[in-house]
Amino acid sequence: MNRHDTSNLLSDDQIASFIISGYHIIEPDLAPGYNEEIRNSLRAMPENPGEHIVEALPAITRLLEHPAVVGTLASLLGPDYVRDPGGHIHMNPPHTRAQPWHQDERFGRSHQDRDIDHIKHLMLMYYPQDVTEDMGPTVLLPGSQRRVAAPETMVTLVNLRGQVFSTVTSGSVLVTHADIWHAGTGNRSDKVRYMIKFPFSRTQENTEPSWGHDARNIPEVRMRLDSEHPTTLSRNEYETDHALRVRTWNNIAGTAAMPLRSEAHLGGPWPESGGATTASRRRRDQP
Amino acid sequence: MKRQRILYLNAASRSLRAPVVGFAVHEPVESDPPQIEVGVEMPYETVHSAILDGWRVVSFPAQRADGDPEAVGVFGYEFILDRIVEVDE
Repeated sequence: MNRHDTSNLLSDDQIASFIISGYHIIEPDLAPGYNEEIRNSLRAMPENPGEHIVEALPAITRLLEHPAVVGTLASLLGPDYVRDPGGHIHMNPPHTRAQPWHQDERFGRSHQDRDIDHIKHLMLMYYPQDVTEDMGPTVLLPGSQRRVAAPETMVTLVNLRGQVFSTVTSGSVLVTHADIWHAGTGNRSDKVRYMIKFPFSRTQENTEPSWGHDARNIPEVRMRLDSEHPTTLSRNEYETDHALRVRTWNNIAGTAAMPLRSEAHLGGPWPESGGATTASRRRRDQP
Repeated sequence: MKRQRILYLNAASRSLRAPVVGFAVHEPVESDPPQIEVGVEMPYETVHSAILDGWRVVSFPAQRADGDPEAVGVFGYEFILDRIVEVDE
């Protein structure tokens, strides 16, 4: 597909959602029988081919070149994105336990080298079969791509408020910010769950939005970046998180950048007697 | 015999009344560690609710400095609670 084709690009609203939560799900209209073909090929593999996935599974190229996949990657990384070395076929057999929460380590980057205000690297995860709740869906913590936390701080974390499980239909593609917290969960079913993972990177900074942008959407995007919280943040994290979201938009929007500070949130109804003040309402009335 | 059941509660702030945002229970028997599971809900809305239910706080989260204004860091504030339970030997 031509990466400059605008017919499958994400919208401003979808870009805002990705900035806030750190993931996007595509359901490409794959050819009938494609997912089954992939599953049969995977079952026939004598061993995991490691990062040589395309060589071992040439049909996967049809997915990677699908217009909906290309349009999403070009929207988030710019049209000159590249597929990085690496990638992995995950086979989650029946009756396994969950992985612990983690961020992927790539190219020797430590937890202090995260892209907390940019979209430079993505992970693409393709599921060639339905993934139900008992088949070990990937779990994500939305918004966690902005956290700078040493792995040691995650070791006691298990079930977290706001965690999202990627229960998906066969052929779905989950695209995440490379730094999002995630884990494979336990497969309690009698079925094998496959997932094929590829890393992608940006090579050029955008001079203008690489998605389907309309300047008239800026107020709505700003409202969402300032007010939506897929997980509960600590009290001192709201201001920082808002700023990182706007900086992320500005780092990928080029000429469509927005002011870092906005006072729009201070408008609205007067506080009610017995309720919270305007400032504390912003912090979701936390004590 | 009596043993210590341990409950980790991660709260959104150091306040006992802050919303609980994460938890893990460790049973005082030979068992696999707790794991991420679909459909579980927070056992308590606040650490204070857990205290009302009989849990004792054995470790409070440390005070953090003002925080790095350029970054969002560690997830929540970790309280560790226990409850003494009778288990079969």
